[in-house]
Amino acid sequence: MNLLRLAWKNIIHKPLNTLLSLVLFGLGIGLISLLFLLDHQLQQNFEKNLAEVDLVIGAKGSPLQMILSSMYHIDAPTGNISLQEIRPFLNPNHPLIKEALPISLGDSYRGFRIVGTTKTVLDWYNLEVDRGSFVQHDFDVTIGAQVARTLQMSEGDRFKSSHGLADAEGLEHDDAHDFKVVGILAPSGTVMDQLILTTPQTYWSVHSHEEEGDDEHDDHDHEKESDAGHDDHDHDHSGHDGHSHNETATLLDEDGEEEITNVLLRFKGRNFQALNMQRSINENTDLQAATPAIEINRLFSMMNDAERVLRLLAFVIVFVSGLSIFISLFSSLKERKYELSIMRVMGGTRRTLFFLLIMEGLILAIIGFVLGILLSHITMEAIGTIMSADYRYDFNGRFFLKEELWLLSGAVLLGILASVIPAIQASRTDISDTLSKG
Amino acid sequence: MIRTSGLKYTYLQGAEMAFPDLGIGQGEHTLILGNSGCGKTTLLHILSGLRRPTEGEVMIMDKSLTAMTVSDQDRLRGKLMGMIFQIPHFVKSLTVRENILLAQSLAQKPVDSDACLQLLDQLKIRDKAEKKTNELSVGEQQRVAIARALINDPKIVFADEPTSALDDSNTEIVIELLKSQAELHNATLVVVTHDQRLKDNFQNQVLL
Repeated sequence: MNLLRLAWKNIIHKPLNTLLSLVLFGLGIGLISLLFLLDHQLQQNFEKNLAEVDLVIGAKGSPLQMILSSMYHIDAPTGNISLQEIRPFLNPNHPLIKEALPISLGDSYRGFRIVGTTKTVLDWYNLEVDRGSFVQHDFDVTIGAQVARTLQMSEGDRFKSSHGLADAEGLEHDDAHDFKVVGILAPSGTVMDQLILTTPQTYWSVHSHEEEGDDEHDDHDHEKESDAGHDDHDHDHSGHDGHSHNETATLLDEDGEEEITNVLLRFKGRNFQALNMQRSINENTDLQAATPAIEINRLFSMMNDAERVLRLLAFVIVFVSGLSIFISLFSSLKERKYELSIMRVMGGTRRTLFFLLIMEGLILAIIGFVLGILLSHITMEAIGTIMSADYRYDFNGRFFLKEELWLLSGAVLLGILASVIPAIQASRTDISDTLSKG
Repeated sequence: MIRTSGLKYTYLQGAEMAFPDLGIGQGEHTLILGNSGCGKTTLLHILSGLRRPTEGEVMIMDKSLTAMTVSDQDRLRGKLMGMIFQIPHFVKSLTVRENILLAQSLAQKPVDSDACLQLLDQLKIRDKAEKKTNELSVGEQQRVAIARALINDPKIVFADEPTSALDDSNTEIVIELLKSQAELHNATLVVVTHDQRLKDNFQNQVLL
């Protein structure tokens, strides 16, 4: 019957008090740890997908929204831009731009976004084609690993896309050309796992078909603005005429009225001129340019405010839980003074009583900590399940941070702090007085 | 075994109490009789090192108990003494058996569950071993207290009013148990009481 076991027995002897302390402690620690986990995974996810993009160009609107939609595939796009407006940025001989990556958005298949882009994407996101090949022709698609896994698709499968980014019924492009899966990407841990890649030209074909056949979609931007030029494209793009559309430069040969959603740019160097480009685009054109790193930092600083409130709340809960351990130990002293005295009679010293109380506080704190960590990781896992469906991001609760070790030391410290006053009180019990009154 | 000289104790309220010098030999059974309020419990606490006298000295086996530090007194008490009180107190979260084992480990002796059960058997409460102490009757609790006082083979057993909460038949049983167990363990037994029923059970008597 060592002290540790005695402390344990004393704790479970009062299950309700213990439960209250543990629930509070677990909630507080769990919330703090969850904030750590969320923060870490968000940063990690955002950083993984930065892909060294220096500038994003798109239609005017919210710059953050543009970055989120074009690079992280979370929000809706700000609108489309015509090729003639952005032609200079697609020029491979541009003095400042190393490479450009076009992005066309707007359609999806069963909740996964179809992105019109070029082969450059493989290089930028360090992607490898696991099976099959990368998109060669219009209406070819190469799908991300997660898409293939979730939808159970493989090479040769065909499907029709839906208009819009969410999986809504009745918006299928019924009469449009079938998409054909030609390849599957190896998992990369980036947002590319969750995308269906095709050529930018494919988008034009899908939507010009509709214009002819479907009145419901009259209000689509592309269709309103479409003009005579489309006849050619129908011919060109649905015909699989043999020339591939997976190079960015091929866009230069296309009709200037055609649209894409964004261009992502990598600069040759981040010099003064390059930095100036953003301002000059924003001031002198109908386009909008935004720097991903800056917008993401802005997003994080906005989230920080919310996080700070939550963290404050978590610390208040932890403080209250410490208080509840203190109160439950302290109030137990009155009824336990006889058994504490009896322990002295049996040869226990003041130090024995002191450590008994400290151990009771510590056991509560450590169990509370374990509960909290379990809680936060289970919650994180649940968030991951929801998030991967809605936000195309990979979150999970199966990893641990070194911050959690700090949290453990904090919990231990709190356990000791909460029990030190009751412990001193216990060690000072006047045994002779207590026993002669009893 | 126990010798005292010039013991005096001053209460907080200012009342001063002087105790007669005692000399109790190894294995002797001594009854200290006195009315309530005459300082019996105080004397017992001084003898066992639970309380320090204002003046005078207590010698236990030729060592001065009164000169020791509090911790040394605690350890010596755990090693040499068993104590029984008017109302037995136990660690409520533990069973009867665990309470007795706790006495062993607090006295820094090896924990011996068999010895504990054997002792409970002698005291005829072995069937209560796994019960919580508050499930026992007062008489049974007092027997558990005796078992706990004897488990470490003490040289001295102090009993403070061990029978005043008991009826006549239980008194007889408990006092006989105390005496026989003390003899069995070759322990010195010191009982303080105002309970006149015990007068005939002890040859050595001290009147306060």
